[in-house]
Amino acid sequence: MLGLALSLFVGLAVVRGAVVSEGPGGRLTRITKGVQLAPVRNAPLRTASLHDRIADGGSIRTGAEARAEVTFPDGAVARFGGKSVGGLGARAQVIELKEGAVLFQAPKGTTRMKVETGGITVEARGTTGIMERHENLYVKILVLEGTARVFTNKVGESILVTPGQMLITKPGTTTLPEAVHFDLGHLYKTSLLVNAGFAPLARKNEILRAIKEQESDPALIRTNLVIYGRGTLVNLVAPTPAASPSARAASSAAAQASPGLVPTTRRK
Amino acid sequence: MTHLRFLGKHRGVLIGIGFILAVLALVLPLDAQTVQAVNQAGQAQDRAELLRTPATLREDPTDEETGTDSSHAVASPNDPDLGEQAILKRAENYQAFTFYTSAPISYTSNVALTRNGEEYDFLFTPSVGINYAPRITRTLYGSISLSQQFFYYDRFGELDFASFDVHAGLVYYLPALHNLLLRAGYDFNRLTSSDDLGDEFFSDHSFVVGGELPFRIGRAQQISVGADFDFSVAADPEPPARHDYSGFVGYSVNLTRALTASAVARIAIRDYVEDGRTDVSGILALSANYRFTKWLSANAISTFATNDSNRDVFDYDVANLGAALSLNLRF
Repeated sequence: MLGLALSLFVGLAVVRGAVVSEGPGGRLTRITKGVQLAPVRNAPLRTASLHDRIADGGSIRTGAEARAEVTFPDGAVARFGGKSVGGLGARAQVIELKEGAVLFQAPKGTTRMKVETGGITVEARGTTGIMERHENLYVKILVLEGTARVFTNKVGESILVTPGQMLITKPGTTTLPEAVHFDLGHLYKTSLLVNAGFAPLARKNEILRAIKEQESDPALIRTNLVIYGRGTLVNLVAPTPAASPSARAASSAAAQASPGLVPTTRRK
Repeated sequence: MTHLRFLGKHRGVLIGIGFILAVLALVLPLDAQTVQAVNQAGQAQDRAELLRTPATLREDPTDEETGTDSSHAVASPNDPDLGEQAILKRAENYQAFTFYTSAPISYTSNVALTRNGEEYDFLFTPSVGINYAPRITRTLYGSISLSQQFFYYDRFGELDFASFDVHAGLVYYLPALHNLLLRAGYDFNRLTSSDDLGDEFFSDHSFVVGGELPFRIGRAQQISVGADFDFSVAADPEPPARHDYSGFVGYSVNLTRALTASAVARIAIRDYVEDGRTDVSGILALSANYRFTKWLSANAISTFATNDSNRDVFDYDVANLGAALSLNLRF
């Protein structure tokens, strides 16, 4: 009996290993709290373990306050935030986000990484960014460094999003709006997808360079509008005189030291 | 609209001036040499127009930044995942001056714009200019420009000439009316020999009014329709002076982020102030523009024109093919 069970276990492990090895995929290099994994397409979700492989077509589901990092053979990284549902596409280097948030980083000089959701695709190479989706309400794309090409299924509908720019639109849209600017340094310091127990991003220096460049851009002026984390809820905070880049940098550092900017009014 | 009203109000005066000029032209005897000079000046006007560095379909002088969305999501326990997005605003940095220069090389199938005995030639037509477009209000802009272009022929060097242009006017956008653009202004054109800019053989003062209605198709395509009216008020010599009334339809498409192709078809009625000559011209311009940088681009352009005059001697067909390297600096 024990022999039979052992044979079955070994057999299943071999089959599982063979299936998981389908497609290049990636490997889970960081998991926090409840993360579930379907290592191959149509496989049932199971509790994920560190260093589990996920093949192209596999999927990931994270629980509340959970996070998972997938690292690809070429060094590309996808970090899923809490309450996220996503996975790898059938083709290599494609990440599909169905719900939640994912930070993506694609090294330079490798295959272009694509992050897709709701008919909107972000194409990245030498780029770090974040994509967020909530149901059929909105899609948000933020670029931390490099340039991301964002396009829809409509021919010609394609824009370049540069560091410190954010684009908010709806899933299924065919027309993209123009991007707006956000304080890159402040986001970098407050983002859990960057900081929360993860190893430093391989392109950290490029992000820091982009922050420096943004801070030295005299044309960018701080406003009193803030979006706290996920969503599109814009909060009105106390007016700040920090209009100059240096003042903005100082203000950003101060905001990091404190728990957060203090909202005075919330408006939809 | 004010300018249109102004022109409408003084239309009678303009027509009267044109009529007097026409009568004087008929009364005053013209010797053969003068007639030839006049014809040359008229043809030079056409050649300058057909070979002038082409203007692209208009672009908004502002870089608008929008980006709003009315859908909001409730906060979730994972809010800090993304980090805080403190919104920044880019201060507008409107650059009113544009310096431009271009070095086109062209082939023309009918160098002298003749009905019979067409001769081909190759041309080098460098140009340089500066434009100042001050923003008066959010939708009203001034437009002052100076430009000089030279026309050098390879086989028929005796046709070489230069064209100097001055324009001063206003451009008004009506965002509520599909971004309709209205323009009105004053134009001065002076044709000289190419090696002596003091050797003027024709000059013309005119008032121009026009409008253009763009229809954007997605992010990459645009169709424009419009009309331009050019009323010559004084010319020296007077006979080749003319009023131009034209309508056009244009299409442009961004094939890639750097490559733009466009086509413009224009029908123009040219009402010469002299002895009742009226020409109807059809011009089709096809162009492609490849932008290497924000300020350097390469262009390929071809124009096909046919001119049908009530004086058969002025009928002609011509095809021009050319390529240019252009520099465009805004400051």
